[in-house]
Amino acid sequence: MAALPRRIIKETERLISDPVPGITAYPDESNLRAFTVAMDGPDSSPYEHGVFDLELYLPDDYPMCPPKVRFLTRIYHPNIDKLGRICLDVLKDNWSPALQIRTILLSIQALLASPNPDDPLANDVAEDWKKDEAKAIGVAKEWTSKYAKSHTASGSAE
Amino acid sequence: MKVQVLEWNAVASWHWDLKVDDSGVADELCGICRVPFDGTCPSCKYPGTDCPLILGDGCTHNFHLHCILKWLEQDTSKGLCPMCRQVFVYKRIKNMGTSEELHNLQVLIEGHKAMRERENEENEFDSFEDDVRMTD
Amino acid sequence: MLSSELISSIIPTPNLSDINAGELENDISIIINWIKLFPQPIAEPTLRVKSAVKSVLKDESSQFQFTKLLNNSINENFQLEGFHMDGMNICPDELQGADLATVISRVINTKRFYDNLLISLNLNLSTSCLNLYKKNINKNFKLLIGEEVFLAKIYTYFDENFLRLNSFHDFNIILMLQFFEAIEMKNELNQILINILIKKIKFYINENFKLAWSVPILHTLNNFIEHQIYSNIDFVLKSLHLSIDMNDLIKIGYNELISLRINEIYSIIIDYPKSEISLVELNRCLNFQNSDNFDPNIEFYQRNKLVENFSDNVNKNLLNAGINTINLIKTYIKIIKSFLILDPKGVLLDKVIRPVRKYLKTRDDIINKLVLGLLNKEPELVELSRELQNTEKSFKLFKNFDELNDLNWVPDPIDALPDFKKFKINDIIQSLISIFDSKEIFIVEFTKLFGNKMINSEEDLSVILKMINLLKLRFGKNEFFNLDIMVKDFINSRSNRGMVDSTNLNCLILSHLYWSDIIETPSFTLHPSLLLTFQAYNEMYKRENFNRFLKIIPNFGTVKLSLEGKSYNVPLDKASVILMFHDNNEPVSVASISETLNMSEYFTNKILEFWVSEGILLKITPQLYASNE
Repeated sequence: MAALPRRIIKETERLISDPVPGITAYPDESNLRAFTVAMDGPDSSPYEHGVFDLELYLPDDYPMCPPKVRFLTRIYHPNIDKLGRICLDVLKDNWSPALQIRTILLSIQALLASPNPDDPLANDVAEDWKKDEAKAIGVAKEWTSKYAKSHTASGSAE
Repeated sequence: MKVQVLEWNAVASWHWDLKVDDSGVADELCGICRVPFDGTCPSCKYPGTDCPLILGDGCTHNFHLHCILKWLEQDTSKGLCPMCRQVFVYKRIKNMGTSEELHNLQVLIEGHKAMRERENEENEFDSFEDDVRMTD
Repeated sequence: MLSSELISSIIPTPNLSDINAGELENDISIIINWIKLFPQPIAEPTLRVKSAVKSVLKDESSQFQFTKLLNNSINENFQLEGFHMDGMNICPDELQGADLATVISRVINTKRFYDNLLISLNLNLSTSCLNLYKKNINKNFKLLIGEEVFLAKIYTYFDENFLRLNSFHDFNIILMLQFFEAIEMKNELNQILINILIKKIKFYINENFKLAWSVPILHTLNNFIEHQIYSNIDFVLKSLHLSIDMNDLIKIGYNELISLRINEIYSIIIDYPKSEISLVELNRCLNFQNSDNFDPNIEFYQRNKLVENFSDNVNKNLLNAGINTINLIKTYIKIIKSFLILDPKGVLLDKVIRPVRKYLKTRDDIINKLVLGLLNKEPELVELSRELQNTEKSFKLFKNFDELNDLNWVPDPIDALPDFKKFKINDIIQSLISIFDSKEIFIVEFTKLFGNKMINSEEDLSVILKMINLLKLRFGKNEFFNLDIMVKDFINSRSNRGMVDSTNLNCLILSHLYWSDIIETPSFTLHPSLLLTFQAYNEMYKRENFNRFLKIIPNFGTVKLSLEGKSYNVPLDKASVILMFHDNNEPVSVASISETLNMSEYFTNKILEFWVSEGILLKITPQLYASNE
C-alpha cells in the first residue's frame, strides 16, 4: 500500500486533536483509511440521546472522490436506507475536494436534524413520513431508544 | 575608502507570486491537497518547476496544476472550482507546466463545457450563468 | 592371654575359643587355634586342621559362622596393647607418630600376614564371607593408623610432591599405592588427589592468567593440564587401576578460567578490542563439552552469572551521569561486539544490552552524537562511520534473507528472553537506531546537518551524495525526500551560475519549506548597494521563472570584498557594515548604521570592532567610527 497522503494524515490529526462536537472519529489501526465514527443524535430531533455508529472509508482517489460513509446502527430516516446508506448530495454529485471528513460528518449530522422526505432513499420511510409525520417521528424516536442507545445513556426511552 | 564587492555568494528562497490583482494575499495552501503552494502536490517529488501552480481566473483560487488536473478528470467535478463551484478558468502564464499538461487541462475544461452545454439544451430551465463566464 | 580374657569379659562377644560343642564348632576351634599360633613362618597345616577346613567350607552358614568368629578374634588382637604386628609389637600411638613409609610398610606387611594365613589354610571362603573378613580387618587398620590424621599426612605429601609424582624415586610410591589398594582406601586417595589437582589448577590459573586478556592462553593452560596435571595424576591412578579423562581435567580448568573471567568481564569488555582473544577463548571454554560428563546446568549457571556480573558492573560504572555520551556509545558498541563473540546467537547480548539501550535513550545529545559518528564528524566514533561504509556489503548479504524459508532455522536458545530478536542484533547501526521508536528523528538530524553543510558550502556535494546513498540503504529510500529536494536546490543553483552572467552574484536558491529547520528569520537588512544587486538578480530570475520571485536570506552567504588592496571573504552582515564606509571619509555613527541595517547596536558594535581589529576602521568615540586612511 502506498504511503498515506499528507492531507489524510493532517485531517486525521485534526479530527483527533480538535474533534467535531458530538462526533468522534478514529482511524482503524490496521487501515488508516478506515474510520470508526460515533455520532450523537442532534438535540431536539427524533434522534436525540441516541449515539449512532458509522463507518467511513477514504477511497484511494480521495480527495477526488468523496469518502464512503454508512450507518452501522439501525435508523429510521427517510434519507437513510436499511443498509445504512445515506442520500446526501455532498457524498455524491456535489462532492468537492475542498470538503473534508469533518465537513462531511457535520453534513450527516445536519441531515439527522432535518430529514428530507422529498429526496428519499428509503421509499417506505419517506412515504410514512409524508403521510403522518408525527407518527413517523414517533417511530424514529422508538428506534433511537431501541438501537442507538448511548453507552453512557440516561436511558430516557419514550 | 573604496569598498569593492568582488563576488557575492548569496542564499535566497524562491516563492510563488500569489498576489491576486486587488484582493491581496491569497491562500497559502492548495485547496485540494492542503499542502502549501511552495511545496509539492502528493504526486510530485520536487516543488517549483516540476510542480507548477494554476491560478484561477475569475475566481481567486489557485491550485497545484496536478491537483486541479486530477479533479477535473472526475466527471463529478463538472469543470467547477472545488472551492467556489464557479466554472474553473485559469490564467495563461508562460512556462507554467509542460505543454502536455496544459493541453490536457484545456481538453478537460472544454470537455466539461461541452457536457454542460448539452445538459443546458436538455434542460432549458438550468442557469446559463456558467456559459456567460465561459465566453471570455 | 590374661588381657585377652579381660577384654572378652568386658566385651562379651563369642570368639573362636568359645566354641566347645558340636562338630562344626570343634572344627572351627581347631582352625582358629592353628591360626592363633600365628606361626612365623607359616607352616604347613596339620591333617586335622585341613579336615577341619573342609568341614568349615562345606556350606555357606558354616563359613559365615567361622568368619564371624575369626573377625572377632582379629578385633581382639588389634585391641591388644602393644599389638603384635607382623611379628613386631607396635602401639597405635607409636604408629601414628611414625613417618609415612614406616606406617605403610608395617600395615602392608601385617595385612599380608593375615591374608597369607588364610591362603596357607587353603581356606577358599565365599565372596561374601571374604568381604566380611576384609571389611573388618580394614576397619581395624584404619583405626590403627588413625584415618584422619593419616589422610591429612597423605594430603600434605601429595600436595608437596604432586608435580613430580611421575618422576619420583626417593620414596616407594608404588608401595603407598598398594597400601591404599590393600586396605580399600582407593576412593579416599582419589578424592585427595582430585582436591589437590583442582587446587593446583586454580592456583595456576589465578597466578598466570589474571588480567592476561590480550594474549592467547588456552594453549598454555591445556599444556599445563596435560603435562603437569594429567601425566602425574594418571600415573598414580593407573597404579590403583583407576583412570581419569583428560577432558574432565580440561573442563575443570576451563570452569576455573570461566569463573576468573566472569569476575573480570566488565573490565575485559571495556578493554575490547585489545581483549578480543580472551573473549574468543572464553567462548571456547563456555562451549567446551567434556563427553558424557557434560552438565548443561553448569553452562546455564555460568551464562547467568556472566550476565549478572556484567549487568551489576554496568549499573555501577556505566549508567551514570558522569559518563559522557560518546563514551556510552563507544561502550555500547564494545558490548555488542564482545558479547557476540561470547555468544554469537546474541541471547546474552540481548539481556545485557537492554538497560544500556534504555539509558542511552535518556541522553539529550545521543541523536546528534550518533549522526556525527555515522557521518565521520566525530573522531571518537569513527567506528560508526566505518560500519556505515560497510552498509552496502552487509545489506547485500541480508537482502535475500527470509526467515521463513531458512533451512538452517533453529529455535531460539532456551535462556532467550521472550521478545528476543535474533537477526537484528548483530548490526550495530541498526541496534543503535532501534533504541528509538522512530527513525524520523535521525532523518531530521541528518537533514539539518547536510543542509548546513550545503548552505555553508562546507562539504563537497559528491561526498554528501555518497553519504546520503548509504543512509538510504539503512533508513529507506523514501525517508530522505526532504534532503533530496535540498540537494536538487543545490544542484539547480549551481547550473544557474552560468545563466546569469551579468553580475558577480551567485545565488543558492532554496525551496524554503524544506529548509525551514535551517534558515532563520532575517536578523538585519542588507546594505542598499547589496540590495540593489540582489533586486537586479531577482528581476532576471522572475523573467526566467514566471510568477516566482526570490527573497534574500541575509544570515547566510559570503561576500568577497576588496578593501585597501586587501581582499576579505566575510558574511553579509560584516560586508553590509563596511559598505557604509564606501566612498565616505566622514565618521559614521553606530546609531545610523544600526538604523539603516536594522541591526541591534550591540551587534553593530561587535562588527565595527571586527573591522577596527582588522585595521580598516578607526574608533573615534564609542559612538563614531571612520575609515582608517
